[in-house]
Amino acid sequence: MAYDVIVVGGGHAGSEAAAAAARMGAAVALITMDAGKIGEMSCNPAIGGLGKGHLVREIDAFDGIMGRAIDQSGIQFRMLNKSRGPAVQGPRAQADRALYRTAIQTFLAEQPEITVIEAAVGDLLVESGNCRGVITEQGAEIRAGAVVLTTGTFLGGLIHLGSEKTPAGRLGEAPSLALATRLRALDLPIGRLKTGTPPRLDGRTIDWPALEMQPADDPPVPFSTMTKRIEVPQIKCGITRTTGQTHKIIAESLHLSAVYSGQIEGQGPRYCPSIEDKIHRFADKSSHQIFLEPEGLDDPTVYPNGISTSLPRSVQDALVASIPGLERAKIMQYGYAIEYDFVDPRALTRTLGLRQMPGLFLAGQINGTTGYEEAAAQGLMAGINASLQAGGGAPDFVLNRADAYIGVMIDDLTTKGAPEPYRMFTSRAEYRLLLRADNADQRLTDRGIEVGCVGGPRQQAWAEKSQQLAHAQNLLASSTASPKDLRAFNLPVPRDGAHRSAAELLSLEGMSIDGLGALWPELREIPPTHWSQLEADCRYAGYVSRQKADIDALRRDEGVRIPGDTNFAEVGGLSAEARDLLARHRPDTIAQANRLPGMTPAAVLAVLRHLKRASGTGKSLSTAAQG
Amino acid sequence: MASEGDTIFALATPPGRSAIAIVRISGPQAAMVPTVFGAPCPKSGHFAVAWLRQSNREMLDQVVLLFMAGPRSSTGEDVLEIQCHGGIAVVQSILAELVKIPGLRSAEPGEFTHRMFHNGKTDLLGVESLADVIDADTRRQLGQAWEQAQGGLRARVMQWRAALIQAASQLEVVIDFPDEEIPADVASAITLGLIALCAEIADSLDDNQIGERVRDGVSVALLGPVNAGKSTLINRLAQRPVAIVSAEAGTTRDLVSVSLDIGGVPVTITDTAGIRDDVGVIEEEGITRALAAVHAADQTVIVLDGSSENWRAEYHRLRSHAEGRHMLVLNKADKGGIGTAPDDAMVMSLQDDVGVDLFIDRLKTSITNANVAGKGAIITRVRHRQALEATLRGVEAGLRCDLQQSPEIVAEEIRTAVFALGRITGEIDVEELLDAIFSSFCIGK
Repeated sequence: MAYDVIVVGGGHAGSEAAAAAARMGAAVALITMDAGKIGEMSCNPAIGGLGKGHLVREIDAFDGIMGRAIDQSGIQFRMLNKSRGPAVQGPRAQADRALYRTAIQTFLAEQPEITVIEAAVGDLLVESGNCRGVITEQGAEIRAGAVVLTTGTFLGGLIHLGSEKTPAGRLGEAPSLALATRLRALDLPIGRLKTGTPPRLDGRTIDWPALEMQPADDPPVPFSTMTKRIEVPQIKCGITRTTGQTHKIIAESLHLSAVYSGQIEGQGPRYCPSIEDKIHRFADKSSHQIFLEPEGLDDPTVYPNGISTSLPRSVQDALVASIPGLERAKIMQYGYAIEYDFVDPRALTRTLGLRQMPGLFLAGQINGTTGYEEAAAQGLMAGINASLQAGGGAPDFVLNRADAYIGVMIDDLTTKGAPEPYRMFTSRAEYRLLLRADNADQRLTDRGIEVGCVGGPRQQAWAEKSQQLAHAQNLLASSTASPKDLRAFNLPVPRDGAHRSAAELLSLEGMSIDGLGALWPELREIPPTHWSQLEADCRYAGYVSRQKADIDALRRDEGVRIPGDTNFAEVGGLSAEARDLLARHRPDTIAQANRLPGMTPAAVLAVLRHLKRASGTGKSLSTAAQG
Repeated sequence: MASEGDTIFALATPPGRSAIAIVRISGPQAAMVPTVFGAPCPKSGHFAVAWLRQSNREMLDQVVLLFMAGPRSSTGEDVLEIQCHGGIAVVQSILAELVKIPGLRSAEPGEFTHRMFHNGKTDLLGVESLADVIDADTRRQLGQAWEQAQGGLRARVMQWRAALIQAASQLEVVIDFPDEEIPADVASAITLGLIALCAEIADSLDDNQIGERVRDGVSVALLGPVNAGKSTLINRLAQRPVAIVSAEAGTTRDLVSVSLDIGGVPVTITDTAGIRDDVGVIEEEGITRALAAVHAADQTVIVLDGSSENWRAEYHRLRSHAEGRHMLVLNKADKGGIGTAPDDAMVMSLQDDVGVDLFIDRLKTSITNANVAGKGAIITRVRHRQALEATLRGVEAGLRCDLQQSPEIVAEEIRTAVFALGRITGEIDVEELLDAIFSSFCIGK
């Protein structure tokens, strides 16, 4: 049996990749060791946050499944930064782990193009340098037009708990050792990264009345534009903190930690440090906050967010008991650190295809990222490009830094690599005021329809919404009032005595469509669900137009492709360092070359001149697909 | 520009006959050049006296060879200097031999400096100040150029940039980690930091543009009727020891402009030579040209015949055209009849050479401006000033926003400011921002 696309792995990258490829019409085989674990949240039971929530909205704009799955399983929705500007508000929700898994598995089951195969993949099928399928550890060949690897922490996974070392992908699950060996033999740039997870507590043994509680937003705001209302009951989380006793226990046991005893070689993230890291590096801080997050409505397991650790069991027992509210708490599963193989993502093009092996795509933690959302976003892009490749076309669906957070992430990964596990932040996006969580559909759904990854129901919903938005934008621009009218309605009066439109007024702090409805009642006929999106557009319009020149320059530079077979030794005017840098990273476009750390403007110009010469005098350069 | 793999050469001393001349060669083939002339190349950092011979073994010249191997050389590449006798035939023969060597070519203007920049030997400010050292006419210009080369502005820009990145990273913590416990005083720390930064940048901008004045010089236009003594004044100035450039055209008797070194600032004084007083009516064309000259000048000096009856009316009329600051010279004091003059008028008799030195003194005071004395000038080009002004605008705009409600807009304004500063030094990198974030805060769960 041959498929169009094989997806190896059923985590967040794999699920999204399989779903995207299936929406593109590909026959997909999703190969996983345990079909029951598809959509599993291995670490914290939550989706979204700043930057991460933006990614989920973007996945949703392409008709992906993560947003809809969390809407069906979220038990505490909160909009982070709610009191701040819309560009830096990030939706976040804690999930009922079982409901989330069920939602993902249901979405995949509803797509007849997807076949789930339970097997461990041990090898790749390579024919004349192209990846044509996989071979299971049992020796079965499965063929396809393209393969997406989403191995998560399974590739050469090694769990550390105190001084104990156990080869595993997740606690109690076998790692992918044969595949790791196979990839290492390919001479890929492979490194080790590490991440950690906290002990899980039995919620029935936590002294909840002693704790400060944090409620969900009311009403909860869904992730997906396809979700009308959140139906899952909402719960509260507890907040507690470490004590002087906790710090003393950890400081005295630091030498027992897998990380500090030098047992772990992989680099961990600075922004998701273990509790031993926090206490060692920030010794002056006397206490750290811990969020106690229930893992489900009917599940007593509680995830203590903030005390990821790889200390020995006895130390974990003591440190948990030193925390207010957790004095009698029972540990259901001890925390641990895990090390795994990743491929330096600079070996990938921005389609997430491996440059040296056409037909093989990588997504998720294998590319050095951390987080479900980062993984899912890569899965989406890899799934789309894999099915383009399998269909015989060019896998060329690429987003740039002015299009989406997805574009920012993939550009960062493919130009700078992952010196530590990569996590999304809004500060990574230079066009943050444009790339908002609220306007993901405006930015991306048409692109998705064009490439073919958006299903019928969403196409219809978007057609309706985009029409309403256009109508509303016209209305806001054409509703104008004289200073006299503005004064009569107690609105800000411009000093220049000129008329002002509703759109212009909305750029001022404190203005809302509802408020302006007093002067222009017809504004209130705009569907209220679109108000905040329209208000945000107006609020940032000035800044966005100021950035337009930057964005235009970026798009122009993105349009100039550097052919894959360019011999940089032939490029005149290059220093040895620049030549080496270019040969190592092989940027796809002039814009990417420009962003390579260590690249000088003079060297970029030299490449540009070379390309112009190579393409023949008077002829224009080959340009990439533009959005 | 041709390939960087080329070896380039150029005569580094002015063309024409001289005691010695220097030919510089830079590039991968520099070390083999002496062998073409039948001489060994000295070790790096050493010199050697050698005979150069032409391809037919004929003696060409006895020279000093100086070799510096890259990257520890001025351009970062291998550099050979040939110090030869400065005869025209010697230099021409050497250059003629060099051009025959495959892979060698004559350098394009600025190409040595370009390679220096390209190989990371200096930055944009360094290139600029090197050019200023070469172009310096006065000692003050030279001092300023070296100060800049040593990092006058660079040091300040780096310091401001660090302060901006610090503020930006603190702001990003506020934005990206809303669930973390951020110290309560972060917001006020950001605000105070930005206010201090604004004050510092504004203070350096408030320098009466002395740095640019020293570098670019100052132009002074003389305005007045033909017979008031403007060209006589110019001629007298040209005879003073402060005159550094003589004539623009013609003989000294007909000078149109003269350059003076006044307090280290090159000052060009130009006769507008456009105003003719025909039957008491100033010709329209003359007015237009004179006004254009006045408009282009930094300072105007109105020169009048003090013995003429209507000098007050004349002054009144011309004063309205002299934009900004002007000085008044009343000439022909020897003829008497000036009457009561304004306090700041300079009474002069060019006939008796009286008042010229006072005039130079007054110009000096007005140009170097007492109120910036003691403050080191760090802005030496309009480019720097524009970038700093844009930086200041960005930070000020950020300070006008509510940091708690609209941190993203404050961050955007700071980004604009850092970008503007970056035009002087280089680009900002997000990783740099994140490094600053994580080194100063404990983040994450």
